[in-house]
Amino acid sequence: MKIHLQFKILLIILCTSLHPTQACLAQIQETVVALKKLESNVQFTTLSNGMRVIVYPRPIAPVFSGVLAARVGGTDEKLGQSGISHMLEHMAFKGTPEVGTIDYPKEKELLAKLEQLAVRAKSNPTDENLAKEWQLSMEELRKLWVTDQFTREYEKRGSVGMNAYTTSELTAYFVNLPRTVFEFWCYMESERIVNPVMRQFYEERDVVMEERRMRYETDPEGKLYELLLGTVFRAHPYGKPVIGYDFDIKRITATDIEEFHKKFYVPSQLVVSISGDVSLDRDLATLEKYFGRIKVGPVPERPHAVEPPQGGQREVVLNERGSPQTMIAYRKPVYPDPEDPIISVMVEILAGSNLSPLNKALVEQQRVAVSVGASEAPGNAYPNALIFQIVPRTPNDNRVVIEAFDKVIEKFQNSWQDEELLEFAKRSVAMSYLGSLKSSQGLALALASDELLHNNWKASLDWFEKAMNVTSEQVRESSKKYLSKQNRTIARLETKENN
Amino acid sequence: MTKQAAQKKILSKNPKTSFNQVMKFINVVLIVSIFNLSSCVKHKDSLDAEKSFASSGKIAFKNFSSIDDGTATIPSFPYESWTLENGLKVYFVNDPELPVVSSSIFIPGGSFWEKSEERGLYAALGDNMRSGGAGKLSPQDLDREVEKYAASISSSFGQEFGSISSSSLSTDFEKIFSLMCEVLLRPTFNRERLSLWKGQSFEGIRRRVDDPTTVASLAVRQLLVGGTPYGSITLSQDITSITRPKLRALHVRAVIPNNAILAISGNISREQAGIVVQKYLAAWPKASSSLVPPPPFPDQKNSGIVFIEQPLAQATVLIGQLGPERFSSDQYATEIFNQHFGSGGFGSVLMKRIRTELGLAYGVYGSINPGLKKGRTLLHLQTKPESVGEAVAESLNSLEGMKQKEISQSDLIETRKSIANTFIFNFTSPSQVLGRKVQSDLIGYPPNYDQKYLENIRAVTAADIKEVANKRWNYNDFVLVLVGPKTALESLKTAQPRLPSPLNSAKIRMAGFDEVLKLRE
Repeated sequence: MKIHLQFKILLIILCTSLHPTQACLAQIQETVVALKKLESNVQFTTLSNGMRVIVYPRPIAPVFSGVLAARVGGTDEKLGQSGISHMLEHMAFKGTPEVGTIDYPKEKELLAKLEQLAVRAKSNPTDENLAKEWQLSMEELRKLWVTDQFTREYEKRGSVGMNAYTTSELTAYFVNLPRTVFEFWCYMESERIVNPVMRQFYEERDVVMEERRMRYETDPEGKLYELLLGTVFRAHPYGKPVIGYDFDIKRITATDIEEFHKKFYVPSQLVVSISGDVSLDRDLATLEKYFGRIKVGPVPERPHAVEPPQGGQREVVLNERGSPQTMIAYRKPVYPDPEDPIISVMVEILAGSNLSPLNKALVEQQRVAVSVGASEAPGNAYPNALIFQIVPRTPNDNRVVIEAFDKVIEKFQNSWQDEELLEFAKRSVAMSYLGSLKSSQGLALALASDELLHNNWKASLDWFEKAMNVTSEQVRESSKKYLSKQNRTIARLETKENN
Repeated sequence: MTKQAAQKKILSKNPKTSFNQVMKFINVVLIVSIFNLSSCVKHKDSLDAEKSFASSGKIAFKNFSSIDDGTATIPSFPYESWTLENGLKVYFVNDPELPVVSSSIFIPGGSFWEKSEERGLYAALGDNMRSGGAGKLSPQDLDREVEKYAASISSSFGQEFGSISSSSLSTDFEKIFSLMCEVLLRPTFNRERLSLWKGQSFEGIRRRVDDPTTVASLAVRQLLVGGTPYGSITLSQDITSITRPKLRALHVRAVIPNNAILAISGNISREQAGIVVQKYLAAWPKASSSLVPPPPFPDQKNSGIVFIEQPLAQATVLIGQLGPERFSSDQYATEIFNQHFGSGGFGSVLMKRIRTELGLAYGVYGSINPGLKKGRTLLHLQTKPESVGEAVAESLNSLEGMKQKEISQSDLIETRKSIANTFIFNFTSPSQVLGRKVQSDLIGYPPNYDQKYLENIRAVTAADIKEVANKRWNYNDFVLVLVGPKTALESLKTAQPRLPSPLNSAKIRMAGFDEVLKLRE
């Protein structure tokens, strides 16, 4: 596939483009050359326990980006445990037996006692004696904790941009560090998997509740998005928010987290991806020494839910403070389905630039909207949705923009034919793809997620190749097939007057 | 897939984005990144003293007890610079990793220089230069040309300077550079696009009230120096009064090569860059005079506590006062104070106490942010309404700790090392190095700033940090804005006696957001 990539794309562009301008060829060609160079630099191996390692040497400065990623996220949660994978991500910063405490054996005993109390409190939430015992244990524990030592140890050594995220199917931990502390990074990252300690769990649960308040409850757009996904996906776990419902978050215990961790953080579900002043030759032994000790476990079961056919248009309304806006979601397949790259090119054509039919009509000509955006969400492991987000411009309301939107889509389905715009869209896809690989961290994260989701770190390259082959007939056909009213869900935010 | 992996709501552990938003509105941060596409390559032999294979022996934390102190070798990316006859300074660095080129022209001047009758004019100039067409190209033709090459061209003006930028494949460098120069030199401010821009701006202004952090930020800005160029907030009537003649006049006055800087980074040669720059920018006429100095900084206008009621599930608190000028004598102590107290990561005093130990907030930040003439000192947190009092009292208690007591030697050394060890991250690619050089020219870094930086950081003592805490955080000057429901106000009132004087007895003013904005004159 490596060798084919370059020529195949060039050939097809030559054949399909009616007006192959010089610029067009240059763009695609240059991008392909750059991607080929990138592809040939990637080093890949598997550790003795089955954990996969991706290395991208970029030894321009004595620094590196380290990513540890796991194939686990919101879709892997049991009923009643929504938010647990994200909660676990937070807990992975709490330290280990060696980092974060002055006396681990004593702490371990107290934490065990605390957990017993937590279980009893679930069924007796108002028991005063329990509350008292809880307070006493906490006081003892606070004396033993070295708060935030795990992150501080990184900071002292020059960490930049240390963070983590959880999506519906992936969890990733990442940081940039001076090369001199590469082995330290291996130690810390493997320790958070091999020896996590659930300290300060109940405080952290409150932190996550605050995060939920910030992202969803006080942000009208966040609220609307949560409602939209819940309406699009009724059976599949894509319908529930990754952060979890407040009533679930409040009931998760440290024991739940430990069990979840054991199940999903096994070598077959983990990838280490590093980019920068690193190489497999130089660093494999260190990686093996630390990450190789993660114990093998069974491959976890994935959700088997299949979202039933949509069966007609759905529409929901959120009455909320905040200015009106509309989200329109169309269900669609994901990579490696051949329709996926076609739909992505279609999105770029429809709403990717000032020249796009939607932006031109709604924003520039009719001026009924301030902006039209599109994204494919919420994840990429299961059939997902193409979501348009339209912000109406006063005094136009959601109804007006939806009507205008429908007219554009209808015309597009019936008669769209614009080879020039198709080429622009492909080039734009090529350039933004190139741009996404510019930083070491972006590159390491991209390779890790492709490997985890598709068991193939080259998946994006393959996807890119297919996107460059898309024809205008395919785009039109896809728009008819997927952008139908029967296949969509509309969520509207309608301003609630203050009472 | 990487593609448009638009995970709309990616949950991350670090809530820093909300604070960045505060900074954006209060605006004390100058340049975040110079180029859209930063990149790097070239093999460099890494000579860092470090083992090339895994150390043997038992895996244990104590094996990592020795910690560097900013010893990473800073790579050099040689850039070149020259000056055109009209005064335009050019910086160039070759960066062969990706087949792209980025160019940016920085022009001193911005909203700090606006008179009260021309509020919002610089921002309007920046937006409309690119969107309104240029030279012989209509706005639509310009869009099409840019799109055809899958390139980007953008223009904007902020508080202190403006920038016109472009990026493209290296093969299209000259074409896109020439279009960028049209935008720079011959914008036409198309009438239709200006009217479109106005409509968009009205909607943006209308929607500001939807986001509590924006509301709090604008309110603090307004209360500190509202009605002056340093605290100006654009209102609808400002947008209405913007006209094409005004934009043209400002363009003639402001977009001049005197003191402007052009930076080019990417996969082209110095020769090619030189020829293209000469061809398109040598004729940019020099103006008779450069920008006048910025207006004098006003005194802080208000202090005290203001409550803006919004029926939300979470309350937002922003505390602010005026801060130091850039490069004050205590800037290194300030950096260490910030890192230790509240701008650092999870290890900061505020994060440790308010987030990790008490579970009161997802994000809490406090820092002294130097600015042109004066900066802003800010503390920001979001918590559930009933915890507002507790969170504010605890945060100010942590601050009081910094004022009362010197930080421990081990904390001092740790924080110093943390700053020293991250220093390398300013120099990890050619374009980054070039960006830093441009920034240093634009805002006037002291001579040998980078060379002496680590030395200056290491010279800071615990006493210096305590002094900074006392000098820069002054309860008498605090403006505290609370945005949230009535229960948040009740919570704050209950905790008020625990706050330091004079906040403990301050009368809480109630105001609507609109009302706060009207305070501007």
